[in-house]
Amino acid sequence: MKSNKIYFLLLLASVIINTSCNKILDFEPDPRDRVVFSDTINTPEGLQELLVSCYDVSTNAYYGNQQNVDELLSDNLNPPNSNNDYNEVYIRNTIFFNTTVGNFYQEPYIAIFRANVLLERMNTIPGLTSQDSIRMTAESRFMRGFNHFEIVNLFAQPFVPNSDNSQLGIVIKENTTFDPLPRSSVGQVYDFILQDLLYAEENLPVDNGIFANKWAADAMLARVYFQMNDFENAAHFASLVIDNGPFSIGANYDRWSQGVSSENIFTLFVEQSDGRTNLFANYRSDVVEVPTLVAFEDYYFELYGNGPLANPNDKRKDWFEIRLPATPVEFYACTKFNMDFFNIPYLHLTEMLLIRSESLAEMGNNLGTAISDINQLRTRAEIALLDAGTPADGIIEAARTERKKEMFGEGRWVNDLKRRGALGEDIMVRGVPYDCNGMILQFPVSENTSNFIMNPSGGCN
Amino acid sequence: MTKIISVYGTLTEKNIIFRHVKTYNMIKRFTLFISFGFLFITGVSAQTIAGKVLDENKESMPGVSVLVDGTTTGTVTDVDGYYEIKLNPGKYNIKFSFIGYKDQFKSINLTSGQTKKFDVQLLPETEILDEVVVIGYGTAKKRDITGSISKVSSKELMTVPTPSFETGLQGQAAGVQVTQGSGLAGSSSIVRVRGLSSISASGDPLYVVDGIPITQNQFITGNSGAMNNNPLAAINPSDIESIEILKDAAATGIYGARGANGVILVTTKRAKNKGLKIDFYTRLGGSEPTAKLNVVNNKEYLQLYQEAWENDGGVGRAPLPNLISWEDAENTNTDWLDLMTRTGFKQLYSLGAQYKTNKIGLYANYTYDNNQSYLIKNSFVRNSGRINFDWNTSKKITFQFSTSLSSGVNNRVDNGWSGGLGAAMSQALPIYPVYYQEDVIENNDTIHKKGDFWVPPNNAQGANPLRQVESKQWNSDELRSINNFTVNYMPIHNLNFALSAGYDYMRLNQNLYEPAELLGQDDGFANITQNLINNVNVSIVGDYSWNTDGVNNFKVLAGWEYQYKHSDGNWTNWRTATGFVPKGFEPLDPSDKGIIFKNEESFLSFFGRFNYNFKHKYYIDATARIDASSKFGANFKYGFFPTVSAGWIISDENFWTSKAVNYLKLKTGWGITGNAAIPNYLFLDLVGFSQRPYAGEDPFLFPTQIDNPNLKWETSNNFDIGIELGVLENRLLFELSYYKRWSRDVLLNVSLPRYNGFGNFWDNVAKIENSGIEFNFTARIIEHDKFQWTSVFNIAHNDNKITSIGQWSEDAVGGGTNDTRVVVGHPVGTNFLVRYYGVDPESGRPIYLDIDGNQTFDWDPKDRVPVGDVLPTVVGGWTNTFTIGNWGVSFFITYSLGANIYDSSSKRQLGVVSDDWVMRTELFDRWTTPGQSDKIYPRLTRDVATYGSSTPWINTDLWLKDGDYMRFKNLAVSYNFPRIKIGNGGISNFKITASVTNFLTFTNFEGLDPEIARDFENAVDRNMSPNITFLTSPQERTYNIAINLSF
Repeated sequence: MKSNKIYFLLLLASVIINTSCNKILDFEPDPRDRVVFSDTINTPEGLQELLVSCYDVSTNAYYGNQQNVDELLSDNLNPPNSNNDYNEVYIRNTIFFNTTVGNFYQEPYIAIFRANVLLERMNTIPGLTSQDSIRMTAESRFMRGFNHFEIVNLFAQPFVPNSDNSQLGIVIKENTTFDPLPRSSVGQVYDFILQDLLYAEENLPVDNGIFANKWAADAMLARVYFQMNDFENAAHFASLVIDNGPFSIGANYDRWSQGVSSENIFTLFVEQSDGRTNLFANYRSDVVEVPTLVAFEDYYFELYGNGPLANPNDKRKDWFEIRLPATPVEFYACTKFNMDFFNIPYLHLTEMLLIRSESLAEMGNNLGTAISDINQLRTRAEIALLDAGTPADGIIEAARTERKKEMFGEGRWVNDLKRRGALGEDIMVRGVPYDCNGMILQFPVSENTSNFIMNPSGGCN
Repeated sequence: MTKIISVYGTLTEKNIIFRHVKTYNMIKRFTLFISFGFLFITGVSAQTIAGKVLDENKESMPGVSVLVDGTTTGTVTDVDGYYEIKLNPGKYNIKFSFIGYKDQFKSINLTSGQTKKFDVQLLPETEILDEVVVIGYGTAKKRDITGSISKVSSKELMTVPTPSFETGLQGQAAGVQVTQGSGLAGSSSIVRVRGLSSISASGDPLYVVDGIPITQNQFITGNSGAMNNNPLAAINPSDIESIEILKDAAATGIYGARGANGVILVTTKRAKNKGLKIDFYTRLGGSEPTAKLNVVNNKEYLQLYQEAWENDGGVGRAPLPNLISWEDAENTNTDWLDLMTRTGFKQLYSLGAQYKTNKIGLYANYTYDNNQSYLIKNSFVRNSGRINFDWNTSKKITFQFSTSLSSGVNNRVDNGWSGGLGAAMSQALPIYPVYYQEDVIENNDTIHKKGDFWVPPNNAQGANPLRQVESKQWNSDELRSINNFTVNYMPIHNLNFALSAGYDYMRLNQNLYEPAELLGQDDGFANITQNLINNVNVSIVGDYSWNTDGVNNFKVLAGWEYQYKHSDGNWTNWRTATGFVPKGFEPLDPSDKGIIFKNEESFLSFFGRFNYNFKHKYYIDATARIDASSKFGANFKYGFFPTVSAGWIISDENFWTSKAVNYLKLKTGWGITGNAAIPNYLFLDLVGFSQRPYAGEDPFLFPTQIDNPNLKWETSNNFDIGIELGVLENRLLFELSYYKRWSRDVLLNVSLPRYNGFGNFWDNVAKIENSGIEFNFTARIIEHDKFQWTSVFNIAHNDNKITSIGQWSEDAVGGGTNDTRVVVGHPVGTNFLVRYYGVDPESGRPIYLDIDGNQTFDWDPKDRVPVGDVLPTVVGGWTNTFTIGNWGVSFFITYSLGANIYDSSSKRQLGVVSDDWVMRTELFDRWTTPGQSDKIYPRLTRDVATYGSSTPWINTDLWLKDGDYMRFKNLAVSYNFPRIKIGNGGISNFKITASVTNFLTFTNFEGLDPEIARDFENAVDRNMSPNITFLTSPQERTYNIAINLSF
C-alpha cells in the first residue's frame, strides 16, 4: 500500500517532467512587440521589409546629422549657439563622450549591419527569385558602400591620390559578428566602398521605385571618385547620370522644398508621421530669434554681399536673411530648412554637373561641356553665365563657387577642401591646416577597445 | 459552557483507549486543547508518577510530551499542565519536551505501589547551537549545519523601525552588507551577500518567502521621480518569524542557478503555543532628515554669480537667471530646503492572534502602517493582513496554508534629479520667490495673481519645487498577495513528502495627474499605468532519514520544482485631465492607450541533498541542483550545480579536554552556484516592427537582437572555511569565516563598438573574484537575575576584483549612468575619473593630471584612471542590550570604513557656475586673487574653457569624498510591566519602548548622509553605482514610542 503510493507520486512527478518540458521552458516575446527572426523574415516579402529598414535608418543619419557636423568643420558657419556638442566640433576638439557625434556615427553602421544581415541570410530564404536576390544584394551593397563613405570622410584623414593611403581609416564591416575589429587603412576602405558600389552599379535596375537604382550607384561612384581626385572616373560616372538618366535640373534652384525634385537621383524619404529628429532644424530661422547654426559672415559677404563673387540678384541669396542688421551682432540666418519636414535629396544632378565640370577642367578635356554644366546652374540662379572661352582654371574656380552656394548645409564643402588639400593645394580652414588632428572627429568611447586606435585628441592646437 | 474532550491515551499498536474526559470552562481559559494518540504500555500497575509542568513564567504548560526516555511510553500534559503516567516498578529516565523549549530529564526509581509527584519547569531553548535554522527546503539545527547561514529572528528584525524588512537586516549578519535607501517613504535598500559577483545581471540575493521565490524586481516602474519601486515593502515585517541568509555554496547550492548572490529565506509566523494569544503592537513616531545641504543664501549667491561674470570679462551687473531683477533678488531669500521638508508623522497599529490545538493552528495579523517621510506630501501607507493555517488531519497528513494580502499606497513626490527636495538642492535658487508678491498684468490680462505660485519664464518645474510638489498628484498603489499551500504526507516513519503550490500576485498601479497650470498648457495631463505580475511555483519534495544505532545518521532529500512568472500591463493617458484617470475611462485617441508587453519566464528544477554524520561529530553534506530556465539559449538550457561540505566538532573528541572552550567546530565547503537574474528572451534572434511605414507606404522590419544560443547563467566556484567557537558554556560564541568565490561567464550587457551597428549585446565574458573574512561574536557578558548584558558584534571585509572583461574596454558596460566602470584589477563600479590636482595660484584655473601624471589645464576623458575605493574596507554592526530588572536599554551601531563616496551633484553645485543651479558654501574656499595657493576651488567662471574643457559639469576626483561613517542606528529604552493576572488569563506582556534611529553619526563626509543608495536606472546601474549620490534625499532620523501588549 505505502510503497504503491510512493511509486504513484514518483510516477506523477516523472510524467509532469517528461511531457511538458519544452512547452514550459520556451517562451517568446509578445508578438505585438517583437518576433523571432525565422518567423518573419523567412519570406521574400520579409526580406524586402528588412531592406526597407536600411533606407529608413539611413534617413536618420542624413536628416542633418552628417551634414551639420561636416558643415561645422568647414568655414561655412559661425560658432554654434548654445550647443556644447556642436561647439566641440566647431572648435575642432571633439572628445569621445560627444553624443551628437556618437549618434551620427552609429546610424550608418546600423544600416550597414542590416544590409549585412540581409546579405548573410539571403540564401536561406525559400521562394526568393534570382532576380530579386540580385537586386537585393545590389541594394544592400549600395547601402553598405555609401554609408562607409560618409563615415570615413569624417573620422579619417582624406584619401591621397598616388599614395598607399595607409593612414588609419575606419572599421570595414562586412559581416554581422560582434568581434572587436581594428581600423582598416583609408585605402582599404575606399577599395571596399568601390567594390560595393561597382557591384551595385552593374546589378541595380534602372528603375527601382523610390529605392536606389543604377543611377544612384553611378552618382555615388562619381562622388567617391571625385573625392579620390580620380577625375576620369568621376567625370565618367557623372556623365552616365547626366547624359542617360531621367533627371533634369528644372527651373527651381531649391531642391529641398519640392518633395522629390526632378533633379533628385537618390532621395531619402521623410514623412511627418515619422517623428524623426530633424537636425537641419538647427538652422531654422522661423522658430527662434537666434538659430543654433547660422552662416559664417565671410561666407555671406563673399557670395552674396560685397565680395567679388557676389551677385545681389542671385536667387540663392533667398536662402539667407539678415538678422539684427546694422548692429555689431548682425548675422545671417539660413531659411533653406524652414520646414517641419522634408525629403533629403541625398544625390542630385547639381552635384553631378559640378563634379563633371570640375573633373573635366582638371583633366583639361571637354571644357565646353564643363562650361555648359556650370551655366545650367547659373541660368537657374539667374546670374551671369560663364564665358564660352573660360580657361580650365576659371572653370574650376566657378565650379567651386557654385558648389559652395548650391550645396550650403549639405556637408560637402569641407570634404572638398580636404580633397583639394590631398591634391596638394595649400588649404587652411579657419586658420588651421585641412588635415590637422581636429579636422577629423573623435570616435565615440564605445570604440575604445584594445585593437582599435582612437584618433589623436587635443584638436588642432 | 462548552464541552471539550481531552484525551489521555493508552494504546497498544492500533487501539486508543479513552481514559479520561475532562470538562472545563472556556471563558476561564482560552485554551483549546486536544491531545492525540500516545503510545503506552498496558499492564496492571499501581505505580504512578504525576505532577505539573510549568513554563519560564511559572505558568502551566499544556501539551508537553512526557515520555520514558528511549521508549514510546508516555503522555502529554493536559490543559492545566498536569500529567500522570502509570508504570511498572523500576528505574526510569523521564523526558519532558516541548517545541521551542529545552528538554528536561528526571530520573526516578519507582517501587511497587509507589506514587511519585513532582513538578517540572521547562525553559525556552536559548541554547544557540540547538536553535532550529531554516535551510532551503527544510530545517536543521545550527550545530548540524556545515554551510554558512545567518539567522535574524523576529525580535532582532523589529529592533529598528524600518520602512521594509530587508532594511532590518542591516548590521545583523556578518558579510551581509545592507545599505539603506534614501529618506523617501518606501525606499529600498541594497543588500549584498559576501560581495558582488555580477555586473549586468542583478547582484541581489534571491528572496524566498515561505518557499516561494517572490517577485523582487525594483525596476517595474523604472526610475520615476528618482525612485525605484521596492517590491519587498509589501511584506509586513511583523509577520516575519525569522530570516535566514544563506551565504556560502553549501547553503545556497540547493538553489542552483539562482544562488550565487546569496539567498534570503523569509519564514512567516505560525501558531506556536497551544491556546489563544492576542498581540497588539503600536508604534508612533516622527521623522526628520539627518542632514541639510549647505546651500548659499541670496546675498552669497549674488556675490558668487557676479564674481563669475566679472572673472569672465563681464561688465556691469550680471543678468540674473530667469529674468530676476537685482532688486528682487536682493530682497528674496527663499529657504527651499525648509519648504520642502517637514516633521513626518508615523503610525503603525498591528493586531495579531495565534490559536493552536493539536489539530489546528491559526496565525492571523492585521497591520496598518502609515509612514510619513520628512518630505512634504510623501508617505507610504500599508494595510496588510495575513492568515497562516495549519491542519493536522492525521499523523500522516498535514496541511499548511498561508495567505497574505497587502495594499500599499505610496504617495509620491519628485525627489533627486526629478525635483522636489532634489530641486531645492539644485535648480531652486534662493533668489527665486515662492509666490507672486503682486498681480502680474500683461495686455490688460491678469496672468498671475498675488499669492499664486511663482512660475519661471521657461516654466521649469525645478525652479519652484513647492509649486511642483503641491500641484502634482501622484501615487503608486500596490496590491500584493503571497499564498502558499502545502500538503505533507508521511507514509512511514521518517519518510515525508511535501507537495507545495505557491502563488505570488502583484498589481502595481501608478496614478499621475499634472494640472494644466503646472504644465503651462491649456489642459492637464493624467496617466494610469498598471503592471500585473503573476508568479506561480509548485514543488514536490521528499525526504527520508535513518540511522544505524544512532551512530551513522543519514538524511536524503529529493525534489522537483517549477516556477512560472508572467507579467504584463497597460496604460492610459487623459489629455484633458482634471484629476486622476477615472475608472473605465476611454481616451478618444487610441494612441493614448497601450499595453505593456507580456513577459514570461520559467525555471524547472530537480534537486537533492544528502546529509551524513557520524555520531553528530563528523559531517559530510552534499547538494545538487539541475536548473533549466527559459532565459537561456538552446546550448545551455540546463545547468548543474553541485556542492559538498564537511564539518568536524572537535570539542566532542575525547582528546578535547578544555573546559573553557566547550564547543569548537570546523567546517568547510566547495560548490558551484549560478546567477540567472537577467531579462528574458536575450538569446533569441528577434525582429521588431516599424510603427510607421517608410516613405508613407513601405512597411519594414529590423533585427533588434541577434541570437546567442550560447547565452548561459553566470557560474561561481565557491570555497569556504569557518570556525565556530563556544566558550564558557556558549556564553561567548565566536564565528570566523573565510571565503573565496571565482565567478566566470559573468554577464556583460556589452555596449558594443558602434561599428557593429548594434547597441548592446549580452555575453558571458567577464570574470570576478570575491574573497573575504567575516567575524562575529555573541556574548552574554552578564547573566544575572536582575541584570543582563548581551553584546553582538560583527565585522566583515570583502575584496572584489574584476579579473577579466574579455576583449572589451572599461567603457564597454551599457546601463550605468555614472562615471563608474569595469576596470580589470579593480572592484565592480570603480570610479574612473580624471584626477584633479589643484588650483593654479597665478591664473586660478584648475589643474588636472593627465594619464601619465603630468599637470595639465586640459580636462580630457582619455586621462581617466581608476581612483578611490568604491568598497569599504570593513562593514558591520554592533548591538548591546542591557536588561536591568524590568528596564531594557539597547543601542545598535553600524559602520562602514574605507570607502569613498562620489558626490556627483557637487560638480554642478561647486563647478562651472550655471544659470540654473544653486551653489554651496564650500565655494567660499575658492581662488580669487593671483598668488593664492591654498584654495580648493578654482576661480569662478561661467565659461567652460576656463576649466579646460569643452563641456560643463566635468567628473573629476575632486568630487570623490571620504565616506567613512559610524552611526548609532538605533537607541532604545524599554520598560516591561509586570504581568497582570486576570483569572487564568490576563496581560502576559506589556512593554513600552522609546527609540531614536540614526540619532548620531560620526563621519568626515562633506555631503549629506554618508549612507547612500541613489535611485538607479536598471540592475547594471545598481551594481555599478554603489557609491554615487546625486541630489539623493538623506536618510531620516526617527523618534518612536512603541507599545507591545499580549493577552
